[in-house]
Parts: sequence; structure tokens; C-alpha cells
Amino acid sequence: MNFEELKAKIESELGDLGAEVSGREPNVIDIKVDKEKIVEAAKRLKSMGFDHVKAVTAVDFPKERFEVIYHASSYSDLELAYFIVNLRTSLPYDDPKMPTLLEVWPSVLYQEQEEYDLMGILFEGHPRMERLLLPETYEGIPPLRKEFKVKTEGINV
Amino acid sequence: MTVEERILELLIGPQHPASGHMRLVAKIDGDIVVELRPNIGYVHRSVEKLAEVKKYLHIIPLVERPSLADTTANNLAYVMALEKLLGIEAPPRAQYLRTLLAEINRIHSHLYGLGIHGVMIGSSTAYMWCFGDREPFIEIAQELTGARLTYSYIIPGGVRRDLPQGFEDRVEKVLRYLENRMKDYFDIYFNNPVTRARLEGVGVLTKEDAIKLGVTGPNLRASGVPYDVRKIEPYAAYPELDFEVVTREEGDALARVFVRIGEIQESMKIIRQVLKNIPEGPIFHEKYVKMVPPKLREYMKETGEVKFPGTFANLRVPAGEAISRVEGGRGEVVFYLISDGKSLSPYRMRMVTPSFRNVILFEHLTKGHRVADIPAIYGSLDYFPPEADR
Repeated sequence: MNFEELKAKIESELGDLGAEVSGREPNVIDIKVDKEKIVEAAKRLKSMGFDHVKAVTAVDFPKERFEVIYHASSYSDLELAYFIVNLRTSLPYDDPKMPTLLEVWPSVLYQEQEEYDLMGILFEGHPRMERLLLPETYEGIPPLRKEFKVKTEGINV
Repeated sequence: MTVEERILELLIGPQHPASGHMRLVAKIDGDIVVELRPNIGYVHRSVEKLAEVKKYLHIIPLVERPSLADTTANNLAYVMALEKLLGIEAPPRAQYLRTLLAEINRIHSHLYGLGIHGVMIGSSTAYMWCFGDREPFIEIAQELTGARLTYSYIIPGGVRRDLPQGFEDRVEKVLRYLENRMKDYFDIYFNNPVTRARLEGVGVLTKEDAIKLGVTGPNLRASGVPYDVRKIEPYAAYPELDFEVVTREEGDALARVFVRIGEIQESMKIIRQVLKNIPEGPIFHEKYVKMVPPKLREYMKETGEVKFPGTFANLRVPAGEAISRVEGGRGEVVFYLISDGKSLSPYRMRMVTPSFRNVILFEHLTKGHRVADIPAIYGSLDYFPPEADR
């Protein structure tokens, strides 16, 4: 399967969910969906053979939106394994909440928890919305957000 | 007594010698594990956040640090993502040198993992031998790069140093040494009835679960999934090299050990091919070579050491996104870079290491096993806490 074929197939599978499909040659496909439709989109991608998630990335665009990206690929179909699918959704800045994809892809268990911990994105339905890497007592701005400033010291300190 | 009353909570770590820099929270009934939860984050160093305040070139040493023993994979994956954004590709000789270092690193990373696993199940001989035999590989890597572990050898557009004189012969000597030595390993450790009894049938990961949980590296291949990035999306010089993907069907702790041994043998095959077929030519992209002052260019030619062009200090990267993956010793490393095209640092860098993807196995594999099997399973995963915490 080549890039164009796969892109066309995903477009036809996810078209009725209002998904915007674009891509970067030779092997990255971007899919944008609303957060209400993301669980269904993930289910359909999984039935196409994208069986695991390599990474979950949350990106902060201050005062504008958060973007959550699931980088999915395949282990069971080695032809599909060449491709990486980025399933993306945007969340409002003041209320970053979305449904968890844990039911569809169990491999997101720790990844979603990490993005909750460091970026403050709430994944509804995820059983472990608690601290992972930070101390349990940590309170304050999630450190990966842009408004959290890293204090740097000069070389003479 | 009811079941609830019988169940005890056992805390293993973070100050326990066999827990690593993490804590395992086990619920046990007698000495059977009912549930086990890894509690990670003790060695978190916020690499992703620091990357947003450091310049692109300064991030190379930063991403290496968490995965000590398996640094080349992170170095290479980061630089590959960066090169995709910059739109440049390293010359063929540099690609071969990258492969060479990656494979030397894979061997000593596997020996490290096998040694730690050995001491976890009580074989201090395996520990001493593996760590001792890791040394020659670290020495040759040092000769090539100038450092023992934190190489920072791979830079955008190429590598930092060319092959030293007479390097091939010394590498051949090291490879022969390990080949002969392998027989001793099988006699005293891998085929030892005690080792077999501790590892065979312990911590079985089925193929379906391995796929579902998204685990990676030798742990995945030991469950019968022939996924190796070097074959799936070949990078560096791998498309031109001949090697096998080592897999096993059993999925138990012993299978994971044997996959690592098989990979050491394949890596030795690759190193020999690299040294035989390495093409002549530059080791640094000509666009950057041109930016180096003529006097230093002369020096580069004489010594084979790359001098950075001035533009590297404030490297500007066009806006865009790039994702890269590399098969490291412990598994697949994924880097995702977003550049806004304006600042001197990435807008966002996502770094997912193999250990972070494999941490899910602790709770999955230990259920129903004895407490004494926890270290046998832990060690077989080649899990490295700083790498998972980043």
C-alpha cells in the first residue's frame, strides 16, 4: 500500500466523522477530528490495523487551544507499520478535557497519565488521573505549559 | 481469614537494591503477587521542558543523558527529526559511521542489561562477566568518539569524527574476543539449570498482549512480532546491510534473554559489513563544510575531526513538524519535534523512550507469580528507570 492509497482509504473510512486528512510524504498521515468524534475515529483506525499508540503528545498554544496528538501505527500488519498516523484534536484552553482512548488502545495508559500530570489535560474515563512523574504533593501550573517559566542561572552563580 | 485480610501491601523500593530508582507497590497473598503497580518518577529530569529553553544543538547532550548505556539511539533519533526539519541529509560515509556506533552501542547496552538481569536472579558471575566484556566495546566506542558513553557523536549533517587509523583491526579483535567468550556464557549462565529454572515459563507475554500494550524492542520480538524499525523504516546505512530480525515465539523471560543474545550476534555481523563496505567521502554535509573558515577546513581534512560552523551556535530551523523513530538497544525511540520557525529552541519536543513504553509490563506480567519472580521478570525487560522518567 502506498501513501496516496492509504490516505484515500482513511478519508473514505473517516469521512463521515468530519475528519480532515492531510499528510507528509512519505509516511506520515495527519487526521484532525473533533473531540466528540475521536473515540469513534480511533475505533475505525484500529479496525484498519493501527493497533498501538507510540506516543501521546499534548501541545500548548497559550490562550488559544491545546492540541492532543496520538501517534499510532501497526505491529500486526508490517506493511502498515511503515506508516505513522497522527490522530489530532483541539481542546479549548480554559477547559482542556477529552474522552480517554484507553478502551480502544490500552497502550495509552501511561502516556495519557503523563500528559495529565505534566500538561494538565483531563482524560475523562481514564482510571488514573493522578500524579505520575511529579511528586504527589505537587500543586501549581502543570510544568509543560508555556506559562510555567524555567528559571535559569547565569554562569557566575 | 478472608482473602481481603490475607492480602498484604509490600513496598519494594525506591531504596531497595533490586528495585532501581523506582518503587514497586505489590499486593501479595502469601508470596503470590495479586497486583503490582510501578511507581515511577523518582529520576524525572524534565527533558521535554528543558528542550524548550535550550538551543537545538544543546539538546543533543540533553537527550542522551536519561538513557545511559543506550545513548546513540536517542542521539540519532533526535538528529534525524532535526534533519527532517532542516531538509538536509548526511553523506553516505557519515550514515555508515552512525550505523557503526549504533551497533557497538547496541552490543554493550545488551551486555549491560544481561548483566543486571544476572545479578537480579543471583548470578554475580554473569554480572561481572557482562560488565567486564562490555568494557572492550566501550573502549572502541571511545576511540571513535572520544567518550565512553555520552558520545554526542551524531550531529545535524553528519558525525563529529572520522574512523581512526587501524580501527578495523582493533574492532575485529574485540569481536573475535566476544565470539569466543559467548561459549563460556552458555556453559556457565544461559544453559545453567538454575538460570533455566528461574526464567523458563516465567512472565509470559503473549503475542496479542504484546501488540495491544504497545511494548517495544526485544520484549516485543520475544513474543513473536518481527517488528524492527531498522527493517520497517530503514534509516542510516541499514537499507544496504544484510541482517536478520531475531524473534522468539515463547514470550517468557528466557526468550527475551535469547533475543538479546541473538541481536548481539547480528550486530557483530553488521559491524563487520560496515567496516568492509564503508564508502570514502566526506563525513559532514557540504553546505556546512563551506561555512567553516578555510584554515579550520584544512584542519578538518588532516585530522578527520569536524569543526562546527558558526551557524550551529544559533541554528535556525524552518517551521514545521517532524517525527522520527530509531531502533535502540532497548527498543524503539520516538521523537516528535515542532518548530515555530522563529525561536532558537523547539516549540515542543516529545521524547518517548522504550522503557517508558515497557513500564506497562510490570503490572501485566507479574500477576500470579511469586514474589521471587519479580526480579526475574524485571531484569528480563531491560527496564531502565531514568530512561522511562526522562
